Amino acid sequence: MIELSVASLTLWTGALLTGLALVRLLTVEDLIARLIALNLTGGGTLLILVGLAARTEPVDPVPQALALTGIVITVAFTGVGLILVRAVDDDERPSRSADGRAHGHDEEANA
Amino acid sequence: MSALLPAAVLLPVITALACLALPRRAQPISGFLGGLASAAVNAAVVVAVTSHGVLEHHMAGWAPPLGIALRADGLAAAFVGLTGAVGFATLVFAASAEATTGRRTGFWPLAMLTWSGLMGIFLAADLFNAYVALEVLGLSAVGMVALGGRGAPRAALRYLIVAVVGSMLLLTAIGLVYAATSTLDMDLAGQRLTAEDGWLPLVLAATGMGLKTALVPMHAWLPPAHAGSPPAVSPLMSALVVKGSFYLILRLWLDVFPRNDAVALVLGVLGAVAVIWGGVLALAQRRLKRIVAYSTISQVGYLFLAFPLLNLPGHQPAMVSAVVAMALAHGLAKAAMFTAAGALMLGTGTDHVDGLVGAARSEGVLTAGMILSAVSLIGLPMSLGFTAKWQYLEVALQTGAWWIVLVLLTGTLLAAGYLLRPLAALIRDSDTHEEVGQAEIGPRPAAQRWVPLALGAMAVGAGLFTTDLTALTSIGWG
Amino acid sequence: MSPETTVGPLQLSLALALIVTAAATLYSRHRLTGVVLFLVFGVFLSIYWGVIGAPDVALAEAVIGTGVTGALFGYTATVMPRPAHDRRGSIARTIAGLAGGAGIGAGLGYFLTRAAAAPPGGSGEPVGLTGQATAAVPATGVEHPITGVLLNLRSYDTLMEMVVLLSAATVAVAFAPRSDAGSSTRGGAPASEQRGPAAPPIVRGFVSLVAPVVLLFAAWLLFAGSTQPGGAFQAGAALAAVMILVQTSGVGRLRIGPAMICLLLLGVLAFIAVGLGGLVLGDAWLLLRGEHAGTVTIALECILAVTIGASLAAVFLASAGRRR
Repeated sequence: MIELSVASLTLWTGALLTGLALVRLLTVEDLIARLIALNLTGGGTLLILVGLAARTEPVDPVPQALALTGIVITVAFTGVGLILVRAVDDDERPSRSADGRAHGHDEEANA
Repeated sequence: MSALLPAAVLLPVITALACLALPRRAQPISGFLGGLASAAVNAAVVVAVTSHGVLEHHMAGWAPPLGIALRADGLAAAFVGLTGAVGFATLVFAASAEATTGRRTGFWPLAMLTWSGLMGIFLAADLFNAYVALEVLGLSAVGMVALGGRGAPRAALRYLIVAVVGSMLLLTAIGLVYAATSTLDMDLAGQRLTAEDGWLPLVLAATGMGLKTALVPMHAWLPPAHAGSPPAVSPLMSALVVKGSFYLILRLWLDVFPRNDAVALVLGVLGAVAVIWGGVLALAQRRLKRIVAYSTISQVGYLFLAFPLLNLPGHQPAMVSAVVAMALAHGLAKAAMFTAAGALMLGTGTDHVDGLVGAARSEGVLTAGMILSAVSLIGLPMSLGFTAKWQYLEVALQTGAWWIVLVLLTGTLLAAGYLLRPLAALIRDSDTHEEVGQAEIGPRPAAQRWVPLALGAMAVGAGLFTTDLTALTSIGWG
Repeated sequence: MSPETTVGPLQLSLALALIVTAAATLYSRHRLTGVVLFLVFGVFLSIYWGVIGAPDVALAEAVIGTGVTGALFGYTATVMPRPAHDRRGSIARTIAGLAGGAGIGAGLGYFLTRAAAAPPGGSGEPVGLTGQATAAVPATGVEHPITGVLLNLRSYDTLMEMVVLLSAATVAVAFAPRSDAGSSTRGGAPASEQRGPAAPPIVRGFVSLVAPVVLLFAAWLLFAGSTQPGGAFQAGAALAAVMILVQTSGVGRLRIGPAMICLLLLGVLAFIAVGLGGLVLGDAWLLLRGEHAGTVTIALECILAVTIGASLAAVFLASAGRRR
């Protein structure tokens, strides 16, 4: 097996996760899928954060405390995002066609 | 004395708690009182820094690198003062009528949380703490945008994504700085960070903050968010919230990251493109609030245009003073413009430029405020906008940066172009243009007339105090 | 985490599983599938945190990042199950997205590992803050270093983090579903429909049994936090989970009313009060030392946990909202 420290593995995993999720975040149209991508980007970023700081024995408590903070902040943003998804749904419902098919809704998202 | 600094962050939070606990009818009065007290604390911070120099408070009694410090130098104090002035004026405007704050409750607590987030960023001396304060600012600003009318939730959601991506880039940058320097304190990190370790976090942080400040080409989220907000939210978004992320990258640039000419040049060129492209887009708009929103993209360009000049040895103090003057001028003038636009929109039911023809006849005070604001935004002599551009120009001429001179002149012409059209419509006498009737404007509460005038007058009048501003911003460094 | 040790098969396979489930989550065609895969991802992630020696983060990821977040996504995806009909969601696009993402990730990973490989500071600077933080922890009145960092050394960060949660809760209050049918302007669904379908009796019975157990778990997390992994945020999330269970099963009815708003305010208010106390009794905001520091910390954590739970529950209620 290649010489790979736990810190490097964590960094690489975090970087790949961030990259994959970031691209999806910027391209996907469905709002819920976008928020999920946002969460995965957050997970990747926190792996990077802890992976970067993981060089001491015993574990440095500061970066772990930072990661905890990051997790809480991510859930706050996700929650507000989902509240807004519902508001968008309420906002745009009358414009939907009467047969209940939901076109003209998700594909409006851009950027 | 230094205990003022946490108070400046926490008093707005207490106000937000009070507003949240009260029914909507009682929120304006508690918000107004809390805003008044917070503005007084902000003023006290500015006075204290002016008279005593740099203030520093160690939170929980732990000194950096283990604990978190709050620090106010001249640069921070200038932005603290701007927040007090614009924040309080906007709260007065918001208290004038419920319609200014959108169709839902929430403006008052969210506005005060935004205030708190801004203070947290301006006073932060710790990298991670600055990130947390930035998140307070981002989330409360998203909430305020969402209070607008139809389409606002979608604009807010888009802004939320932008805000989170920007912060994640910043967080990665902070992780890299911590890995390289073993500290989160900005000053200590700045002393320990080498050019070799510094470039990657700088690129990440600059990208993140550029995104949050709507630097071209990452600007598309701004117009729907700023123009679609309720009348009392747009001035806060444009004058203050955008400054939060800009301040942070400026602060990191000056205190933490080693000099990097390549990044400075990229930021400067993007700023130049923003000045011109934002101006062209503003010219193409037909609605007042969208003109003002696109103008923000152009004005943000001026802020980033400063980076190549900030790097020049010997010119840094002058350029810091210049970029602070630019940020203050934009903050005051843009708040005047957005409050005026909001008042006109509430009065006429439209912000279409053609629908505002002749409004100056009944709304003379308000129009005067808009004219003063335009004087500063364009950069006509004696205004703060003028002195800011003049300081840029001096450094650019001394160092032979002709492209910056060219951008400054073009930007001035464009600003004159996009601002004169709505002003001309307001002042125009409808009799000579029979095809468009005179705007029907309902009577505006006094606050909606006088707040734009007061802000506009400050944007122009502050130009007389440039030397004081330069003296203030030089406190603590340089 | 022992940074020098090379990774074993467990760490490696977990990392692979993370990447694969992430890719599957990101490119799933239906909202509900995406949410389920997201939960799987969250489980892997918290195991990974545990395996690399960060049990506090593991616990927070499990309870907050996966539990509460999963409930938020799950409910929304269930009531709005419309497929994420990404029209252009062709295989080619998926491959392009994955390749682009992997490319960016690889670039980032390359630069990050290079940056991390460089010796920090160069001139014998301490690596990280481990030594100083561990030395300072006894003065904080708690034994667990991470709790010491969060509630004493860097308590101001935690206070501002509570303000972030307060912002989210404020948005939840602003967008609270209008519980009185009369005041609802659009939709006008009768009260019974607003509540959504009531769960079958067996589910309600199950929830009535499970809820107290989860409450006990929350209390344990809270008090464990002073000596071992756990703390206010994990406990608060467990509290929120109870409230969400009670609400969705129909065992109880929660709404964002005055009582809930009081709970939302309490945590930040108490925190600021402690901060002011530090200034008055000591000479710095949030100063907390001496023999009573431990007691005050535990009391504050209890209040914070309640507010964290209420905030997350309020956000859930506002995002669940009123459906057709």
